[in-house]
Amino acid sequence: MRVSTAGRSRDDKRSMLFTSRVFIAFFVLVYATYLLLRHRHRAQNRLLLVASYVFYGYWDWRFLSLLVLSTLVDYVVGARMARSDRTAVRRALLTTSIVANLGILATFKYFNFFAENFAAALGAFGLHADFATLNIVLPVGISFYTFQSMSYTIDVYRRQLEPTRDLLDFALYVSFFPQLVAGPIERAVRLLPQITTPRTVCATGVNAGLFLIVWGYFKKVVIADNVAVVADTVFNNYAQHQGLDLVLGALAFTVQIYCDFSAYSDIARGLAKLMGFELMLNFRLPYFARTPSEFWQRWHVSLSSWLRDYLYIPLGGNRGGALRTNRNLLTTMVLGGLWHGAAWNFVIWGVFHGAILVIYRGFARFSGTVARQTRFVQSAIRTAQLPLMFLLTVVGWVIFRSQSIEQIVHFLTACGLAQSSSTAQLAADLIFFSVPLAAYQIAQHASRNLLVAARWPFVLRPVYLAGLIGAICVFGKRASSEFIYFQF
Amino acid sequence: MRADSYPDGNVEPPTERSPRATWRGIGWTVAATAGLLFVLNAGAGMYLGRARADFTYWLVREKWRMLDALEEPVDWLVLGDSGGAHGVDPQTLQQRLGGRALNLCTVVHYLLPGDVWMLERYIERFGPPRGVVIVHSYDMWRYPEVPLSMLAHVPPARWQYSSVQPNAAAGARNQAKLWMRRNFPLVSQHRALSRALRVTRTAVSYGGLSRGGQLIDVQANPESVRSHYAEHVERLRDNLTFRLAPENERALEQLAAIADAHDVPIFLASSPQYEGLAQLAEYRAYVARIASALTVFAERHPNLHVILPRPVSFPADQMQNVDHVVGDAARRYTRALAREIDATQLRAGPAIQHSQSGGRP
Repeated sequence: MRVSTAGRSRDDKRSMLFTSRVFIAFFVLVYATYLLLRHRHRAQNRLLLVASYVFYGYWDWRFLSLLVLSTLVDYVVGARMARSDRTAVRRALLTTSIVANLGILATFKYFNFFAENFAAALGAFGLHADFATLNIVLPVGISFYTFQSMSYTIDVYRRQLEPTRDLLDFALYVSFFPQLVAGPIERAVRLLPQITTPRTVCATGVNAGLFLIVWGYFKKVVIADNVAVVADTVFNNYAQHQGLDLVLGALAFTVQIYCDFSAYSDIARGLAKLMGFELMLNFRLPYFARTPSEFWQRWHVSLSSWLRDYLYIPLGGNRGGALRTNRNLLTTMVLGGLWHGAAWNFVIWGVFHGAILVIYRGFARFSGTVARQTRFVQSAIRTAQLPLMFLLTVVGWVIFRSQSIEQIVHFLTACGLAQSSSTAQLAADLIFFSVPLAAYQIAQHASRNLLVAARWPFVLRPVYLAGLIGAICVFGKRASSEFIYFQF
Repeated sequence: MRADSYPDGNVEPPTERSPRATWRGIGWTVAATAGLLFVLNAGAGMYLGRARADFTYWLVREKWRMLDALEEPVDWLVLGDSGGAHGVDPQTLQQRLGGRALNLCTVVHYLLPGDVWMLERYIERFGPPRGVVIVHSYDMWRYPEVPLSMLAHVPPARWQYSSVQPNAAAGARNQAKLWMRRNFPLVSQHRALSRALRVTRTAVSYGGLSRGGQLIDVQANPESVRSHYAEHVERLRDNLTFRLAPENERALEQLAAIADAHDVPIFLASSPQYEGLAQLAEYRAYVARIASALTVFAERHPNLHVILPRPVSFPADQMQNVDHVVGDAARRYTRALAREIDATQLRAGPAIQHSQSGGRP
């Protein structure tokens, strides 16, 4: 069974990647103007709205229509819900919002996948179906902003949020450019108040923002883009690789996807901090998780919390016994996998993570037994949990990255300790670029502070920043690749 | 998925605690960071100036150093690209033609303008040599201009006063880019620095320079020759029309003017070539067109001579790539060069005396 791909690939000649000169010039201009308007927050909001639309339209101006559509539908839905106390009416309005947003997603992201697989399923029964597939480009960031927009209408429906009366402020909430195309997926209860009230650009925020931005750029152009070479070498020619090469390829992708995605979040949050906004933490050292549930409190927190609040809990959460809880977990994780893309490997990845959540939940019954053991045994168990969870995560990433079931099977069955002529070089490259990440993450973990570098003594901070910027200059790939999560 | 849903003892993930900062503190941090980057950049420049971090830049730098460090004039000045840097053995040339020879060949990217700048610099210091040999690969003639990245490695004084001005230096924008490339090696030579810092990468040896300026201690690499050959074949089949690029044309005219003004013979030769390429019909036709165009031009200038219009060819096991010969093949190529120079001088009229070093006719 081959996996299919979602939509056509974009023409990437025009893009506002954070690592591009176009974006840097764009942001400098926007930020300078933003600071000039520092006592006029409504003017700042209009500036940011125009900038966000320019940012998004730069990829492809046609995508703006979808953004506008989603914005208008949800704004109107929110406004109408405010005027009605009747549950049926409010539910109908909410349904309209969900259908509209998911309809956009379904059309642009999932249509071909479902059409092709439905035709394949009919074919298995000897029935021939010839569905037309759509030759359309997947709009960048569509999975992010539709979810963000839906969260608004859902919160209004639940009366957790008063709907906004300012369409332009709401439009800014949906399209805020630092987090528009790859998150964090914000909640209206967090971001809308920051938009509607005057913000302060303070030294503390700017300081933190600068540290985040530099660390984010380092993770993307130095670590992610360079270990991607190792990962691609193995994954793109997997049949030619065995043993340790496959292990190294899997580890390289594990590093790559973390650095790539968390880098975007760091840069987005850093840019937002420069403007006085506070976006939610999206990554909290996920590879230090000891259990699957802890992993999802640390990895892509904005999505996992969205799925928890708007899917898992409405399905019943962990109320209703073990069987229902497991069902809800698996459903949530499968849909979470599918969110990443219209392909079977993402579905399998979701099933995989759902399964290990269920299994770990089963073992949680024995936590009382563990608590009665000696401290040494408890410590041994806790120590073993981390590498085990890391191993499971790596297996998940192999599934995530693979293009076919055959590839997944090959990776899982042919990996081992056998070496090839390229093993040493692959290992050297991976280690060279992973060591700085590991070192800093240990410092973050030990201090329990993700911004640990900003708290170092004054003498060390410039050394840290100069070291990162120097490394970006020397090791940074000049033609930086698109962020992985742009394709979702 | 909530921590409180499962009694599994999950550790609360770390959070973000920003320290309180002041604008002055940020200013000091930014200034100190900029200062450190300045030091890093300067250190990178010093390192690159001494080490062989990038072979091409090192070669260019060394050849200009050899020219500037020359204490006595030479009789034969050999200029051109890496085909000549590998292929012309000054000792062999000296034995055949007498006098003293110096190989200042660099890389193809400098095209003919690079040869003009070196020759002008030499004449400025010592007056005209007895003869100048310019060795180039067949495809040098069509390259449009000296790229800006390479221009940054030639001291600006070398070409600023030349009548052959590189296109890449024209305009304020290019000047700014050139300044950046020259003064920010941390960025402009990042590949060389990256290779040097990634000690885990296998180092490639490109040989060393003899006292006479020839690249020696280079290993033959038949596999590289064959893959290089494939690239050339594809290029020849895509780009059959010979075209003398304007920058090369200007340089050629300047060479002719120097030859006429100083009465110094200038010999234009093709670099050695892989025999597989030399046998290709498209290649022979292309080279014939180059030779024809150069010969027509040379007819108007008695001191400009086109020798070895068709390259001397060698098998793959005597080459590093399609135009770099190694070992004894270089001596054989140089002997062929010397024979042609001798024959041309005989045809041209009063022979230049095979005199002692001094180099003046």
